[in-house]
Amino acid sequence: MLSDRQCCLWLGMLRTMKPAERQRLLDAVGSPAMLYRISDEMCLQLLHEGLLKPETLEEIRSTRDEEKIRSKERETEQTCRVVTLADAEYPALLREIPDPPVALFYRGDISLLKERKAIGVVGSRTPSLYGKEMVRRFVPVLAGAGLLIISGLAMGIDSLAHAAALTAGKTVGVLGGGIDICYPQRNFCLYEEMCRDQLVLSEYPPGVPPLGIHFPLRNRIISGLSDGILVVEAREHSGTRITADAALDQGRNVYAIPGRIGDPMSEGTNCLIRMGAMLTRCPEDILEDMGLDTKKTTKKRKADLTEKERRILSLLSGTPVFTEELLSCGMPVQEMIPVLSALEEKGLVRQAMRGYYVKT
Amino acid sequence: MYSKINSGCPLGIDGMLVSVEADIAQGLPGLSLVGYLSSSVREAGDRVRTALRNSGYGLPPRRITVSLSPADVRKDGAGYDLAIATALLCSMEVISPDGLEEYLILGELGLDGSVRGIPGVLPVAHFASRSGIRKLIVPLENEAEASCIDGVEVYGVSGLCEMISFLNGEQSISPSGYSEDRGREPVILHDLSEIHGQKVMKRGMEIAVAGFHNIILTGAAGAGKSLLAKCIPGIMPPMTYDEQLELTKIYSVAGLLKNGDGLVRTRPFRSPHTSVSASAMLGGGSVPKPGEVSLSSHGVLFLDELPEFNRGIIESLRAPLEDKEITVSRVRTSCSFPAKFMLVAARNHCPCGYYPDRSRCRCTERQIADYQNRVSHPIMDRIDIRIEVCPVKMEELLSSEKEEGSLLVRGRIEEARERQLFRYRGEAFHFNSELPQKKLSEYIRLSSEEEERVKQIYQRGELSARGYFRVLRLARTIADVNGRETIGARELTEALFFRNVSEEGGGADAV
Repeated sequence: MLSDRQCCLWLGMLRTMKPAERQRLLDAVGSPAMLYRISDEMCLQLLHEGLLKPETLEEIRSTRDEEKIRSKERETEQTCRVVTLADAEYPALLREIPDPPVALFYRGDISLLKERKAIGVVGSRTPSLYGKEMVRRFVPVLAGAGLLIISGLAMGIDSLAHAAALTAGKTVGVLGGGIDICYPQRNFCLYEEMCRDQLVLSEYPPGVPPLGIHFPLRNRIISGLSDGILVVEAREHSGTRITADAALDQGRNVYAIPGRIGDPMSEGTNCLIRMGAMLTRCPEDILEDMGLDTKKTTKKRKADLTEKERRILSLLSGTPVFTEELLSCGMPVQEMIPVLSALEEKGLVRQAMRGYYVKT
Repeated sequence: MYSKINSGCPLGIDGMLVSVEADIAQGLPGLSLVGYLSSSVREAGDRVRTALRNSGYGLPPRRITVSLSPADVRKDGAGYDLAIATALLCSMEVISPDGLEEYLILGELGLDGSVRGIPGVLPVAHFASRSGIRKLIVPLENEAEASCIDGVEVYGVSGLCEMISFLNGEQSISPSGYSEDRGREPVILHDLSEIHGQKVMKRGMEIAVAGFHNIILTGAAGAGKSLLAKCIPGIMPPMTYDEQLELTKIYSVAGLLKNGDGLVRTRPFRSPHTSVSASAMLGGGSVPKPGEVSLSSHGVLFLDELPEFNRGIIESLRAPLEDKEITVSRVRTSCSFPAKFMLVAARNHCPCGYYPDRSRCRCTERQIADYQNRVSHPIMDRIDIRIEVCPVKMEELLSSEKEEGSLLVRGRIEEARERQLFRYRGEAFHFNSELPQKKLSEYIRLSSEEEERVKQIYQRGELSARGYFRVLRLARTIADVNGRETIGARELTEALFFRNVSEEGGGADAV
């Protein structure tokens, strides 16, 4: 006899159904355990009603073998741990979404998801300097205040968010393929560290490649696990937009960082704000909205600055400014350089990238 | 009869003495040439014989042997023709052997007896004068070149008969004199005033040229990187005599001296295409010839689109960038050429060229990082000045503000150069960037606070040991450009700024 948990595991490993299809089937049948024991007549009826596809029926028939399932279970447990809808440890927030994964394959500490508010951080895979700067500005503060940072371990904003979170708190990564496959390859160190000390999870069983179609589905899990999501930077038509839309469907709060009009990298975020996402100017805005303590970070004392330093500082903001533009303060270049370097040394200014300066 | 004539050949940019011996004896008629000769030298036999006959001196039907020694060094080229002919004529008692040992003879012969120019005359001339041989007979084409050496009498000849009458005292040729004249005014192809704005970039370039430091410009297309590089010849200071001499020797060996040219007086500006081969860049050929790194000595080697060059070739620049010379090894021989160039490199951040402008750049982080990594850390470590550049804004392009011209900037650079020449008088080097590590403490002194500051940065791991010394030299140049004798906090800060110490690495932010 298979346990409920084992039935969930079996269902979670079927490859022929999309989550939405699976949910409709479950709604009709009742539970994964009942689906496992389903009679042939019932199958034909479901087939007739369109709730069951022929290839799924074929897959169900060929995998309904206790021995096979038990051995698959043992095999899986060699690579990772599993939590299913039948288990108490299954993340509560995720259970609530319309089409939750029946099984989650993970490495790391699943209890990170308990008793803690979480925020999903999403954004472009090819961010601008501004986007990168915003991650540095927001995430450490959010993580430091106790928020769990959830993202997708993708290139760009995702990885930056995980890395920034690690400096101040905890983070969870959700993958679009099997838990044993690190994609993209470049993130291997980050992936390894997170598997060890944080949490990395996936809806897909080990061995499943990270196909393109998996990513929108993976994104529903990111927002499903979070109390809200922060959209850092997104083009108008982008995967990030799709994630934000899914979050709204799930009733999550969407926080968006505004950008300059005309900047293609901020088209998506500005659009979201117009559609009702919350405009966020600083991490404290989010913390306040989520009901968390906002520790006022001590602003660096600006009292002891020379007049020249003040002049240059006034030309800077959160948006990276190129060195040459600072010459509009009127100083000759050989004077401006030492003043700028002094500001950098004092920690009032940093380089987002070599040659581009922002106010810290 | 036996006779011996002095000749020579270039060895790198130095020279080597080659003795040409001839002997005419009883035996079956024939001419044999010995002495580890390449095929081009072997052909000399036919050339010389025919040239002699056409000048009225047929070879006697005897056993004739010509030997080029030392016999264990490979001889190449057609430069021995004239010496061989002279040795034979001496053995034939057409020319008297008296006083012949005072001469060194070089030249190629045409079939009609005319004397043709050859590469490498200057290094041999210099070597000869140092070895005590003060009289040179060279092709007329190479006369000006050989006259660059002080203390030698150069007799340029255009034909075999002319030389014979000269040696027999029937005709006199006035020796070409030595004249040292100051460098020519550089030709300004592009003027700095053509570039709008970009003051940070121009400042960096001024410092680079003043101290002969390596510089790399990184940034999107349209910033003016290539244009700035083309302005450099117009602002470089004149060469000293020994710089000119060394450069001319290199050009001589490479066969690049145009007919009748003497000293090369303008600093070279070489800009090889990205498809350049390793031997063209570093030097090579079965007989080692100087490559771009040597041909740009005392001048600029401009590598535009640096990441597009073959990776192996970029890496092979490590040694010449550090040692200022390059050893070219071939199967049979190896020699060293100077490689005293100032590197000016330009590159984009990413394959499309537009990063960090995301409205145009769609490169992934991986593509950007991979593109950055094509210029490795060891190469970047040897580049003192790293400047980020950005395309010029519209307002700047349209602004009517007067930009400084090349003449003004060159004036400042020449002043800085004078300071360096004075400081290093008596030394073998002239620029701050050439200051050897062991002499650094002698010439560069920091106040204790500044020293402490640099030491802290070094200890934080933000500077390599090489970087530490390079920052000091750079600070010294900045002080020279600012007109100051002591290096202050300001100069050090600017040096650290251009060296970009806050992120010691091969590229921009990798995250």
